[in-house]
Amino acid sequence: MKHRVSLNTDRCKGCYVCASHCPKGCLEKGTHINSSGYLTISNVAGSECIGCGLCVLACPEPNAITIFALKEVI
Amino acid sequence: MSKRLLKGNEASVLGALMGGCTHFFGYPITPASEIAQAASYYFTKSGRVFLQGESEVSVINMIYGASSAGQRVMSASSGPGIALMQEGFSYLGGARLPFVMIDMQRAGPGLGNIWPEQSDYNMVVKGGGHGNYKNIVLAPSSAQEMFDFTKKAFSLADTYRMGVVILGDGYIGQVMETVEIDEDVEHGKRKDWAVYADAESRENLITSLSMSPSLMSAHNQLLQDVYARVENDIIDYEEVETTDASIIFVTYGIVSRICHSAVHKLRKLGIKAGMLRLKTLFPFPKEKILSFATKHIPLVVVELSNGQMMEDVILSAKNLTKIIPFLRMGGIVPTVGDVVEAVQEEYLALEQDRSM
Repeated sequence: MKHRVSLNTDRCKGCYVCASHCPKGCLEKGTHINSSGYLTISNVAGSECIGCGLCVLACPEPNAITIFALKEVI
Repeated sequence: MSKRLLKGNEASVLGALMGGCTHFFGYPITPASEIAQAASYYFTKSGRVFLQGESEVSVINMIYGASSAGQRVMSASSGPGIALMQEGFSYLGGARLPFVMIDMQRAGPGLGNIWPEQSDYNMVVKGGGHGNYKNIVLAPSSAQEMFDFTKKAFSLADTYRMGVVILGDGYIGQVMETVEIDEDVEHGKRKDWAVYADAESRENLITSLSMSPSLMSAHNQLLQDVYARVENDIIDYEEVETTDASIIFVTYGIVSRICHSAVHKLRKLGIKAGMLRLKTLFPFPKEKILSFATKHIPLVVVELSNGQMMEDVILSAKNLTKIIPFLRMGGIVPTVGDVVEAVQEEYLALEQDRSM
């Protein structure tokens, strides 16, 4: 099953703890500055999320990161 | 008893539930947001009250109201939020209202950042508000202690009629560990001083105002007597290998765990190190520190601040021994290697001084 990391960048405070916990290197320091002035996290293009959820657990901001399991539509 | 894998922040909410807390008023702030998040889930599920205020100022005044009505109340915040609440702390102290507050410290001053620091020590232990008030301050160092101390805090607050602050830090809140959950709920009892809006409590008055200097003086004296009783009753600390130690760490919170490993590493290297970990910051274990100082054992204060607790250690040691600071600020947590290296250097210098 494929997974996708969804980022609510308005909630991000740019601590990048999630990036240091991701075993697949799916997250990196981005270039977008959010409404609170933080340089936020972003997805690495082409990376493959395995849905382990470590980033969600490590992130100190509730609801900043959500992981979706993708279903194949026939 | 049950075991669960929990973040320190969530463990404290379960501790509050088992401690009989009925009302949680909160306002989110990193790194204490998960406390409000977990409380919004558990408190509403168990039929208790969770309310998010519009700011920390309203939260502390909601606490004043609910505590006056005899409820067991709590809130959680971090440095900037606790600073906003200081006026309320003083009013609560003056009116002798029990409450529990969790302070997950982050780096300051100002907005600082969201990494751990221990720089709220002066504000919380010495009192950031006006007047001669104090709060009991407990310093957890693990998710288990976040649970245990929060649970215990409610009965302490009710016994002495004063606030209890749990002084954690960013790491203690975020770290995930197994927590043993003691499921006996300790409900609060009816308080003879509270206002319950019934005939029995009609005569009770909750206020911190007293226009007569003589009455205010007597009230202040009463507060100091309570604090003296607290200092006599509840001092708590943990000693690690201190019996034969020739150098002792004095520390609390997250850095105490680093020092614990450093003690074992230093002993392997032939330096007899020990550690005194404070579990209560007010009351401060002055006599324990003095007992080390009278034996002239050098004390290494490891702290994530500019030496706020070190001042208390210096006062307690009464110039009888050398105090070695190891301070880190801005959210940097030292490694075991950093601490061991620094202590080795200091120890060698002290040995050379002695042999000369």
